[in-house]
Amino acid sequence: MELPKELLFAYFAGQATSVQQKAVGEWLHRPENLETYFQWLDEWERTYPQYAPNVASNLDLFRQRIESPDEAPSRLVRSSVAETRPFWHPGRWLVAATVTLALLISGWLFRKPLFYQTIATSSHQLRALNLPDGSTVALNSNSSIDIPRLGYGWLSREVTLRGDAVFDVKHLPNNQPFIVQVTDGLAVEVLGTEFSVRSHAAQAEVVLKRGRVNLHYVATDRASRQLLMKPGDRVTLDKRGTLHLQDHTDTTRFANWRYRLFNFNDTPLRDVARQIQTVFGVTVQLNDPALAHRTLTGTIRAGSSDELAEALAELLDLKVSHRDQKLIFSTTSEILITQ
Amino acid sequence: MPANGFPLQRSPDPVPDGTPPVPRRDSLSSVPNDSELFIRTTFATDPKMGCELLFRQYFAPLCSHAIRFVYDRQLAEDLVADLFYAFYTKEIYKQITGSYRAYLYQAVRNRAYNSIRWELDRQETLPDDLDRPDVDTAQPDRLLQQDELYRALEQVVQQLPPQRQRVFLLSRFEGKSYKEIAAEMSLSPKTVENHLLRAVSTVRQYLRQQRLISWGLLIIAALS
Repeated sequence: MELPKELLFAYFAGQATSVQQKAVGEWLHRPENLETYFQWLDEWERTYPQYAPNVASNLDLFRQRIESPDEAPSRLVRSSVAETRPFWHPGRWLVAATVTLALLISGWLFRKPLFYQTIATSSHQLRALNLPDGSTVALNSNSSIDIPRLGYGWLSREVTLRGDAVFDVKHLPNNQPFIVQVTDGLAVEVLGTEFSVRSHAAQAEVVLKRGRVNLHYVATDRASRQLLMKPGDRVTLDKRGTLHLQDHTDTTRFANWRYRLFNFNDTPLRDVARQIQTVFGVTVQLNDPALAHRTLTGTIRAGSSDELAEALAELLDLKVSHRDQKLIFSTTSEILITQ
Repeated sequence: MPANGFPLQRSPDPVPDGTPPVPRRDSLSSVPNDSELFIRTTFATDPKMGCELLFRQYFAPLCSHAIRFVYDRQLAEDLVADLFYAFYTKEIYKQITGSYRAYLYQAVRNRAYNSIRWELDRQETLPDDLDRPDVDTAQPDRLLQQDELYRALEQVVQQLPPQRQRVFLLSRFEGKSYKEIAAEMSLSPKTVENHLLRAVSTVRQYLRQQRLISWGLLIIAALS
């Protein structure tokens, strides 16, 4: 299809009818016509120029620019452009600064969840953790532990404990100490050993089974003290900083809760209830006074207070029910009566 | 040079001073190819010289073409100068398969078009394939859309009230300050500023609509 040059010129000048425009469009869709299009566009632009720029002075500028490429970037920033497009308006900097500040502040506020992984147990739960260096932690109920996300094992081995836990710490070739930071000013430094730490609002307790640990604590006179513990030592520290050391304690029944095994040997149910209370932190109520005197023999493996209560109920043919943080044991007949 | 009759009326007589000699019409279809052949051989031996020849040959018509889009003399000349600078420093001349002319016109249109889009909507990012040398990928639809755009721009400027049009052109074409325009037209600088703002806003508004119109046309073209 041939298109008269005059038609294209009319089209360029905006004088083509809509039908002619369509014809130009179809003509242009043939790839071989593109060159002709640009040739005639050039010809039209030369025949009917909008204005006459000063080619000589612009060519001089262009020569300078390609001779000294270093100056080129400054040339690229046009003043007229800066006027019409105030991209880097001062307000932008303000926004950037505010965003950065907000990020920093939130990073600071949330630094704990960012840098530490917190593992917590509820009141009816026990948990065993394997740390990346091969150490293990048995976490009792109602406890939580913070483990660093980054650099654990090669930067530091420092964990923070709230509650009750048994640590079995692997000794590392680089003698990297393992430190348990207890919230109330007590830190236990270890090189490879097994010990238990229990920290509650009123007092903290550390029992060492084997190996050696170094105890850092703040004494009554607010001074920082250290104490080297030997196996069998049991140390309690109360809120005011008074330290009690008891040596040669029986460590065979040392924190048995972590094995999730409960040993009973002709144990009255009242004592069983007390054990459940100390291990899981739940209140146990025996509805019938006669129940307290019934005894129990055997070993029960249970990971939670509910599991243990279910097992007991089955063994002794009792009914167990929950109310808030309470476990209530009652005889089946009694329930029938009350119903 | 009188400001009112100068830029938008396409007078059949080209403004003579400073322009490269306009070739006679009958010889045109063959001449550019011959001259491009000469430039092409120059590029093979001395790229800098080749660029200068190309600059001499095409700078004026390219500026004239760019200004149909950007309506700003300084901006148009900067666009074209930047194009030549990129052409030389990025060694685009090595990748040209078609004619230099086709590449240069397509590239200057893209740059001008992007400049308008940039001015309209500052959030929009510019595509980085601004200077792609393959003319074959130049979409005919895009060419038609750009043709449509500059003709529409022409119309909207023509339709401005005469005084506002004059202020607009004095400011954008001749790069005159408010004060100079105010003195020339015996208006207060405030009025000049007002005229200019309104003119620019009219153009912008029209451009926004125009974009929709162009898309509509594209769809019609695709369907037909």
